[in-house]
Amino acid sequence: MASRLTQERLVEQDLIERARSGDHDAFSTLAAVSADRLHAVATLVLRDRTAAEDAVQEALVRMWQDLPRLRDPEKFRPWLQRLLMNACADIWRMRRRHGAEIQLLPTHESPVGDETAQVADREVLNRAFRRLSIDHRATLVLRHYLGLTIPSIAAAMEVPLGTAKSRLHHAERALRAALEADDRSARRTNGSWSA
Amino acid sequence: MNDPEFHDLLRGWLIDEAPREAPDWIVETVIGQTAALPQPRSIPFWRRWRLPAMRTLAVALAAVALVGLYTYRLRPADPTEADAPRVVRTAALGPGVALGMAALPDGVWVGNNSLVGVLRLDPETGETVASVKTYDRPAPRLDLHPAISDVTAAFGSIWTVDPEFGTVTRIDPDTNQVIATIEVGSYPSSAAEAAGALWVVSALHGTVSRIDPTTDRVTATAELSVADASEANLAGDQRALWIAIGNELIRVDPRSLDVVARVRLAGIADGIAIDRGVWVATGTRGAVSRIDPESNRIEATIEIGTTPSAVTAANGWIWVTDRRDGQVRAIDPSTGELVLSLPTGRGSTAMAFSGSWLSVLNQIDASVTLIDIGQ
Repeated sequence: MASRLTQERLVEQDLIERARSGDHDAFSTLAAVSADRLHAVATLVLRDRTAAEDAVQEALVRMWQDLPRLRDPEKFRPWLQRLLMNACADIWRMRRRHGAEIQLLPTHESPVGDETAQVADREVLNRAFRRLSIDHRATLVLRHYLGLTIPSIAAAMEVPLGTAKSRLHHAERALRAALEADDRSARRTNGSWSA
Repeated sequence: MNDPEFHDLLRGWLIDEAPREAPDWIVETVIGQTAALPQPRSIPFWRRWRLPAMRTLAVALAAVALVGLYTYRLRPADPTEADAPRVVRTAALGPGVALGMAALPDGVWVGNNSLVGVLRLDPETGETVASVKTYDRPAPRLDLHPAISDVTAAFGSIWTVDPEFGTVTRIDPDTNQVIATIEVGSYPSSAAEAAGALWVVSALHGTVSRIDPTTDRVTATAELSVADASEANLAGDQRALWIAIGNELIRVDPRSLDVVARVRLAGIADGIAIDRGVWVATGTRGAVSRIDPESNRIEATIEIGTTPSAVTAANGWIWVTDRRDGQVRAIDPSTGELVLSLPTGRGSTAMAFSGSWLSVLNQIDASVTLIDIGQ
């Protein structure tokens, strides 16, 4: 049975070791290879392009400053996710406090035919997701976009296991409720509502 | 809408909504900012030495090393032996990151993320003789979920584990065709044969599922209660399924699917094999441990190379690759002695054995080292 470390992971280990010894070139490469993933997660969580860009910058600067304290390079990814989650939470709180203008992300174009129902579901998801708190959004993104386990989510968000579980449960329930409400509404509109 | 449908909808929506690339200026700005920002220094070694915990640890490590040296006197192999295993050739794999490898007597199969499938190499010539696509889809992002995370040979077939698609794919080596695609749930990570079935670990749910090779269906699933199963390693026989995840080795009864033992390892597990005991490579510890299946305890730990990774039992020896120093080493399982060391390539992280061929996958070099180890 073989190990599943990828080539990317091996190169990453080397970069981490060099960067935490103060090699700025290694850090630059590490930042470049991590930026896409961080940006995707921050954009999903914050639903605000400018805020996401700020969060990624903040997380990467903290990464440079805190790397010497990272003892185990194997834990780099969860550690970096934790930095990003902290940066997202900080920026979210700061923007709410200052009442900053939210730059909403564009929704996808509406297709036709058989895809309509699926697109309607996605629109409902989009609206329901925006109503969730930042912590609930982050839990959903870590679970269903990055595919993290509950303990990994708890570690990334620095919360007890039970809190991570309940956040995920609450967030999923809220989205499901929105979908089901939309479904009932659609059936009522189509005349099949019998209540 | 049931749970799987809801989760699929949610996941699909998140993937569609996520931007593929970050604007270049973000990284450029960060590089500019941090260039002038001093990086705080970590605690120097001599200061760490003053900490009581570090002092105790150092003394304990020195004691373990002395005991290890005493117990296992390492002996280099005699390179003059005529029938000694030897590197015959190194086969280039071409573009795309190679992920996982398996071997049958007439073919070495290597997963390839860019291809979204597997390449088949002829071990006699080192040439790629076939490529099989498991999915007709674009290559997924490696840093999320690769197209293939593991390849294994079992029941006369080649099986790929497909995290991106939540499936296991079965390939007929006689026709080089996909003959079954089996839904196994979200983000499977690795697979192995044990007790007449194929076993697959799911990274997302921390479960292991049993696939019946006669029906190509999942027949049972068990909870492993682990934090993260994305880097699991499996091996099994008729009596037990062993799953190494993180610094834990879990023993599962293949009939009842009960977790019957948990063994704390000395470091993070990178590879596992079974031959007169269970052998687990722990790269972070720089060692291979032998676990006694009767007592479910670590019986011996052998310091080997710098960062041991894959482990395979072949030709009566335990073979261990090293992902840093470019060597594959053989251990005599009856004595724990190092008996042979051969050069491979950079980033050796997978190994497979069939017939007289031991194949080592060198991920950084994108190549396979083919070693003739005799019958």
